[in-house]
Amino acid sequence: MSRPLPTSFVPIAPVKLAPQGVIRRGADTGYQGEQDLAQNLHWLYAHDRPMWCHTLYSGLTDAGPWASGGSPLLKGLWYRDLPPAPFTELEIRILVQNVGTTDGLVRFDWASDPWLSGGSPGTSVDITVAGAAAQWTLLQDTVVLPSGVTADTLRMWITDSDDDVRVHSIAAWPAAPSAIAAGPSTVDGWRWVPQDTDELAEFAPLSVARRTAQWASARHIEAVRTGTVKAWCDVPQWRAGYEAHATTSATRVLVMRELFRPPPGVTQLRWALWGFYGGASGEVSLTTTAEAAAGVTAQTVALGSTWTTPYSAGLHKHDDSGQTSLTVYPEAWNELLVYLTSDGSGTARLLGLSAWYEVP
Amino acid sequence: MIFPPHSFKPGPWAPHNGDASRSTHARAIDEYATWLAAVRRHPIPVPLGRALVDGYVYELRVLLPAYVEYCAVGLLCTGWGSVTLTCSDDAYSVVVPVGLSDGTTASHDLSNADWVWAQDRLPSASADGLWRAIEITDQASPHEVDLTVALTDHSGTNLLKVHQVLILPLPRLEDSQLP
Repeated sequence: MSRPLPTSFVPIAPVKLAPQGVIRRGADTGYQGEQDLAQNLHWLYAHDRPMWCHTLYSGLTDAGPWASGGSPLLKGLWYRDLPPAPFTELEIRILVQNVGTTDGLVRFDWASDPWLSGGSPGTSVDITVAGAAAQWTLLQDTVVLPSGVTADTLRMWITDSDDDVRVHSIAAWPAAPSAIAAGPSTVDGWRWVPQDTDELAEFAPLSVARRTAQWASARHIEAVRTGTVKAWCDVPQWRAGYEAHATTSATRVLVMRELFRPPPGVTQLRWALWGFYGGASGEVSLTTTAEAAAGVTAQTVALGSTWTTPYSAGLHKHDDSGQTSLTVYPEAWNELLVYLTSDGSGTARLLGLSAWYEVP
Repeated sequence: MIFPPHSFKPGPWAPHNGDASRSTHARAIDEYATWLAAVRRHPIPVPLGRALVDGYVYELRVLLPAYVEYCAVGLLCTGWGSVTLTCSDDAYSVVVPVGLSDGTTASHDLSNADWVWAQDRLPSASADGLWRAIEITDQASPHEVDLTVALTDHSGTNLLKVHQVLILPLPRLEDSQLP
């Protein structure tokens, strides 16, 4: 018994599934059949992996130090729903530079299971950035997904005693599993059922029940892997003077436009943002072109004034009291519009924003 | 299927009766799987904070799905100049000319910014600097590529800014057989 997971998708010639012919067991040399159909679904289940978070920093040369001193400093925060089963890890790619002489460290951990100084490593991964490396270098590793939560904050910490580690870009996506689990899986009502090879035989057509399960599995992949609209963070402590979005204006300022096209069936956009204000008040407003056209009032978030590591007070999200997700049109181009408002004297800052589709 | 089923529309399952349904059912599953693999695409946002400007080369790693031959790139811009895109899968650079008047006033008002696209599929680009979609090495499994973005101002006063970047792996053309 096995649930084969090929390394690549296998296109199947239509003649192999033609009417009045025998659909072979498949996956044998020169022939294709039921096992190829099952393997392709397994392959999609493992390899259909939308981006989870992505940030490209600008103005790098002029930015302030990315690390200072020998203790870890929090440099990045990305909150959103975690990838569903079967994914258990995130693959992380960072493009880094370290012009100092000592090695630096980039650590990723989760807010729900943090790395603790002198204590538990939590759910974390350390990536060493060798010293005396002026050349931009791509480093990679994986971090295990936290257990017991469906949404969490991925945090990036940097340690470097001579202050010379810089991160130019970050990307993360779910790591493909190496095997297909035997049991079924249900995510938000969408059911996945794997196929065992011992359920397949020559001259034994699959039952309608099995085909229905295969169709449901394809629907599961389509519905659950919905993609990302935005997952960006730019914490200012290490980029003083280069805050991406800040305003002192008392009238709202359009600071971000993000183009996106929701997949079929998707009507809701979830969001999370990080920010704070330095005066009497500040707020962030979010809307979509679909909501604006329908006259729906924008989601408005009153920012707080606290901004101290690990910045948890600066997180605001769609399921907070008084907030909701945003309405979008499926299969049509939409824009996410983000506005920032201050009190006219203090500075309101938007330091991170994630937006992702709600599973229909 | 060996060709991308562009006409496929996902929806509820409708079983049929009779011997012929064996083929109908199997082909329906094949069509759905091939549509997921070769037609459905997730746009890949490149989240930026501060706008990109002249004087730097911006680079990042992207995971592309299987069966991608071309990637379109959308740039939300203000100002005058050009944007040069390179990709580790593409032998030649792509240059996107940008001429949006808001940059001339140096206000760079985001509400006046426009999306400019590099999206035309050229069968085989043979020179740097063409305005086209990025060529991607056709593969039957996902693979990673490095993308770079560099800006050139038209002149010192007409500054160019790129406020957002969107990478769009293009659905495979209907007559392009899967390898």
